[in-house]
Amino acid sequence: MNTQLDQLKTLNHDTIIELVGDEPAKIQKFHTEFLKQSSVILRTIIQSFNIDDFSEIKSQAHFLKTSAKAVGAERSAYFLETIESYSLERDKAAIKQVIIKLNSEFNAIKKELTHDQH
Amino acid sequence: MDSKVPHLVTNDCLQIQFISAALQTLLGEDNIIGMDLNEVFNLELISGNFSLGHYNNIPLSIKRFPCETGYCFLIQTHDSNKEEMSFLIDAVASSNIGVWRYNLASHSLYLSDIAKKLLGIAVQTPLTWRKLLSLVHKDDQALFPLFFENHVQFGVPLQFEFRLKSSGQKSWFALRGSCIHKPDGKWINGTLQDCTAEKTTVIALNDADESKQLAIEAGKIGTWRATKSGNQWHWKWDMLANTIFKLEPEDIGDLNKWVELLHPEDKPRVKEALDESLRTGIEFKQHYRSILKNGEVIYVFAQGRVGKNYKGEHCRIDGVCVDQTEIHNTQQALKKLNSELETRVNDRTAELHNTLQKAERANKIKSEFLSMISHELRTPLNGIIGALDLLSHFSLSCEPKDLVYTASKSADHLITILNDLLDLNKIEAGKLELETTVFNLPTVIYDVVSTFTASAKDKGIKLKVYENQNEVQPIKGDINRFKQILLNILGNAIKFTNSDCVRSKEITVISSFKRLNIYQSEVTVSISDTGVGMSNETIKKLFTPFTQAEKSTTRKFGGTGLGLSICGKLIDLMGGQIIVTSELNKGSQFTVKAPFWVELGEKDTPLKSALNCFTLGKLSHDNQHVIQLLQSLYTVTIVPLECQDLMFDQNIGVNIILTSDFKSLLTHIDTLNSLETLMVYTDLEHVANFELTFPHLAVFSNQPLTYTQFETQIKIQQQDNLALDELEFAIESSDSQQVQTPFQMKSDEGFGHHDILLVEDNPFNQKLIQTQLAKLGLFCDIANNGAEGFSYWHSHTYKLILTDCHMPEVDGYEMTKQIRTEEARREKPPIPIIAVTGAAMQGERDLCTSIGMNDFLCKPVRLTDIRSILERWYEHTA
Repeated sequence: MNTQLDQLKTLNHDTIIELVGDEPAKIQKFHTEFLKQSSVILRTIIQSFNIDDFSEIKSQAHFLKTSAKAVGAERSAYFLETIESYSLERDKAAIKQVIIKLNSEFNAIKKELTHDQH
Repeated sequence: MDSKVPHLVTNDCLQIQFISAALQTLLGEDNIIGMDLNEVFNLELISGNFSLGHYNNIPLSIKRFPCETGYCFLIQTHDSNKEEMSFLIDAVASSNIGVWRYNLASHSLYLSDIAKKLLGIAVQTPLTWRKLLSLVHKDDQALFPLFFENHVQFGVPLQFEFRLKSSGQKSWFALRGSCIHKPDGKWINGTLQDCTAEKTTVIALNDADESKQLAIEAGKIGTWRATKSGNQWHWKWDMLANTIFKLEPEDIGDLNKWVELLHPEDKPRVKEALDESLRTGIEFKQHYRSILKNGEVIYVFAQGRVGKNYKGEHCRIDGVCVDQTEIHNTQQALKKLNSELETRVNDRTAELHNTLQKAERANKIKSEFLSMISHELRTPLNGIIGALDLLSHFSLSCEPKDLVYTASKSADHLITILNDLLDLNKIEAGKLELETTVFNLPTVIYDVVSTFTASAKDKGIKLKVYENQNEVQPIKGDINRFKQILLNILGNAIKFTNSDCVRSKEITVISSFKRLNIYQSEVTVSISDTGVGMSNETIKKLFTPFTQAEKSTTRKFGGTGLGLSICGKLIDLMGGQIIVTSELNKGSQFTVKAPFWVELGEKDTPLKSALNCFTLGKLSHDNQHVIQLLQSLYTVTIVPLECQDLMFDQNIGVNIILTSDFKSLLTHIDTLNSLETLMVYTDLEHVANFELTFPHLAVFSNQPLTYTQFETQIKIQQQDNLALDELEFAIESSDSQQVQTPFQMKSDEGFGHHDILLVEDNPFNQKLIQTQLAKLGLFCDIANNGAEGFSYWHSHTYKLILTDCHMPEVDGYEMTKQIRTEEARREKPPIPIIAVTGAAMQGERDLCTSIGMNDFLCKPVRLTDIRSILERWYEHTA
């Protein structure tokens, strides 16, 4: 996994291969699973954000972060980790910006996966 | 010299040196020795050696001869003969006539002073015949021997003109002379005159005459005239006129010969006209026919003018006649041809009219058929699209999903073609009516640009938008049709720029608004690309239905060629125009100009609120454009961050940073972090870096950035909360998402039959670890949290527990504590418990160990890591 900020990828395909082997069908299943989970968790995070429930935001971000790391969604994982730390600081303005970026990032993953399929 | 001859001798200075006895007698006793000759005799020089003078009222003639000491002057009294001579000499001198004489035997030549002057020779210069000839122009030298010999031998008058070498073609001299027999032999005496003026005039007259003659001959124009003598008219015409009427030379002047040839139908008219002209002086002008002796009919045009004598009587008529038979015949042939052509054109027009009617009928039938079939096809096609859409939401394996996707795309394409066909038919049938709604130009630009932003980005095309916001006002017109035109052109730009042969892919959209008058405005949107471009030939065909730029275009880029045709017809309906410029392999520019009504409703001009704009480093062109957008919306304070003393209002609600240098921003960010609504605009290529480096800042690309988009971005940033509908992914995915439920172990799945327990609340991680274990040939029971995990452990015997640390209700730490406590109480051997955690800090590992966990796996768990853990803890216990 990349650790330098400028090297972070939207989707590092090597990561999931390293976890479950080079089996496209299985990998696609995990990707689909991740997108589903991301959508649900992102909505939960937004709802928690709008009622200033920073603890829940942190918990949800942490929850999704492990999945993101598993599929190689490096930039998403980075943003989720950032949300965790801003949640501890209760920095709502910063969390808002990261959520917006996270939303775009998930879109980018979705597009990349759709593109890969066709 | 004899002293009886009156003479005197002078020196070179004409001082009298000697007087003969005869002269002394003639003059009296006066002593004139030593005196000046001119003063003594009041001399008047007549020619070089001959002078007249007087002494004591005695008129004298004096001839000069050179002698050894000076000159000898022969002096005679001047009688009346001499006066006549003097008169002659005066006349010759005053008329500038040179005289000469030539001795045929001795060839000696005498030229008077005037003759020498005329020839440009100094008076003192002696001249021979040969020398004279050498001065003559080479073309005229032969005249001298010719005329002289002919004169001497045959008595031909000696009279000719010649030129001199020195004066070239410009000066002419007339030489005249006659032979005289004298005792000392044959002499030719003559005169020499400058006749340049006369000669030039004669040459010019000859030239004019020749020119006129040539023109008349070339034009086959005959001339004729008549003069009146008493009451009789005497006729004459030239040979050309005679030739026109094929008359004999002896017929010239016999008017009856001409009258006889006149065509009987024309004769009375022509004769009467001629008589009237001669009588009244009116111009004679007639077209008539003549029947020649050989029966040939010729067509003649004659015109003449009458002249008057000093008494004012009509005394002459001069005219021309032209044979126009050839012209007449050509005109007749042309008339015939014209008539034939006219008939043919009429026939063809009628034929075309019929064909057009047939074509129009066929076109109408075609349009009706297309319209009907399109409608009929659309209904089932909508069903297909709906069904495919539903099918795509089903959980499908890879291959069927691909097939559904392909079918869906094809159906979408088909419905686009059908819609285009319906549009084209509607326009061609004149059934399309434009709607009128109030709209804003920026909204249109936003809708059009945002439609293609994503696809342009995917294709690596730089899409840039520049909106000139000056004077922009709400307008009225058919927004949907205007949008349709722009979407089509921008879509084409994307299509034809996304080619492998295009290196720099860029599309620029520029819009402007111009108020024409109080009611009308003109909107101009120009879309230029760096795509494949077109030749002038292909531009001409662009707006023809079913015609694409090149034959290969359809094959290479797809499309029906209907789009631009519809655009062309729509813009015509709107009263606008589409201007296309393009260069092959360079790109194209489509400029759409359309008139719209200005919405005249009352409108409040909103007050501009304040905004801080921080700049850092040199601003890119697109960031400068952002400043323009900002200034159209806000009262902007521009603050260069490099300044020592930053002057800005910290309480302003919106703060924009414009920069391309994220490293420099890192050094200034602490100054800005406390500000409200902080947004960064940067060039597209820097956005990703800025987003990661400053996750807490709102980062946007400065292109493509429309006015409306910009306004929306600022508005969203000013909201405290997040609206789900503004987050594309969240809202898009929400419909199809089902809340993921934690893993529910079913009894028939063999709960309790596996010897590994996985305690994990995240279903994704549950499946992941389950898959990894399966890959190693192992299976596990799954508990969704610590409480469930403890319960499973309590009711079943496991060899290994893999547990997440952070879980709701009872977490991994608490579960481990409970298990270790229970093991101690029941004196059971401790089960290996492996922490699987996303927190990778060293403290986490220590914590795990301290509460009784045996080992530690870091998420995401790699296959190799889980294998080695199992080798260590699972195989060992087996």
